[in-house]
Amino acid sequence: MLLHATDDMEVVIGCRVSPKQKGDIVSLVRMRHPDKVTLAIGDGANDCNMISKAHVGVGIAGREGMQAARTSDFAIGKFKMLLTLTFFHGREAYRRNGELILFMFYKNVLYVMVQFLFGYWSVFSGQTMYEKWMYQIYNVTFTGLHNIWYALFDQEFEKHVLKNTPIFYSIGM
Amino acid sequence: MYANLQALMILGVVFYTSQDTPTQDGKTINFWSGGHHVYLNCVLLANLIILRMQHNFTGFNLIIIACQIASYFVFLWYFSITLETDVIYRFGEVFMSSYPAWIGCFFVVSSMWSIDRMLHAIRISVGQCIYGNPGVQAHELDLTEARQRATIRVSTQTKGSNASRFK
Repeated sequence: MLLHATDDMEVVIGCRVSPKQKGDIVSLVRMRHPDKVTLAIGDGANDCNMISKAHVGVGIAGREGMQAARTSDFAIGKFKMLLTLTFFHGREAYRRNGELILFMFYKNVLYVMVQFLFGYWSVFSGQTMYEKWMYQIYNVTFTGLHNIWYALFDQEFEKHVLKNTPIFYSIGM
Repeated sequence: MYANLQALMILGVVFYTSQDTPTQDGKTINFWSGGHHVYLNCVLLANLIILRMQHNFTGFNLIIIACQIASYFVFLWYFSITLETDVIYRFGEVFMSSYPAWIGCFFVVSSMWSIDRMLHAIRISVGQCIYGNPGVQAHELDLTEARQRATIRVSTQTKGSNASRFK
């Protein structure tokens, strides 16, 4: 009934809620809208339940102790950092993850497909084209290091450019 | 799709054309050398593709890429002296003196752009056939435009900041 009443509202404020009730609200929202992603942010031990039940839990480390930060997926120092966390680091992590997953598929399909297509020539006799050791070290040595670099340091745009251009936040980008 | 087409191109251009091709000294590229030439092109292509995916270029990117590609030759040399299988030890000498091998590399690298264009054209035409209107690409065009604008804005700001720094 609570969710039914608050479905069309943009903001709902809950006062004097216990830690369990905070967690229950997140669970209810997740149950009612399974396709939506929930984010919970808190700074004290009373927010731990809520943080752990949301898809993305953000804890603020500071005055009220470290419990929330330890329970959370991401810990930040101040509340104002949430904007940068979601709209810059979140977006960039989403983009980098997506691109790297596609790249992983790409590079492995590339060298396996050559071998597969060669099978038509060798009548699928099982003849390999490369030395067996080469297969083992392809992902680790020849194409592995740069992925780490890309995942850590690649950045498409500056923070302020991203924040001012809403179209960059579409799904799939 | 992209990887499949490139795999086909590598096999066709590099392997089949370099099979038993006489080199300057009269020797031929044998099966194993052809196979490892194919492998070299896979490594080359995978590294160049991720280099193209990068947005902020620093010297470290290029160093890592160069090291990864160069390490292929180091590993081949190492295997040739330790494994004693005798199947790949001539790769270096055969590869270096073979024109088809170098031309194959050139074609494979150029396929990064040619296959991109081809797949893009196919995607747009298929999208138009299925959806009937260019609305499918509207979002993509908006994104491209926004990216271009953002890039221009960033480069202008960078120039401005440099100019003010020099003042």
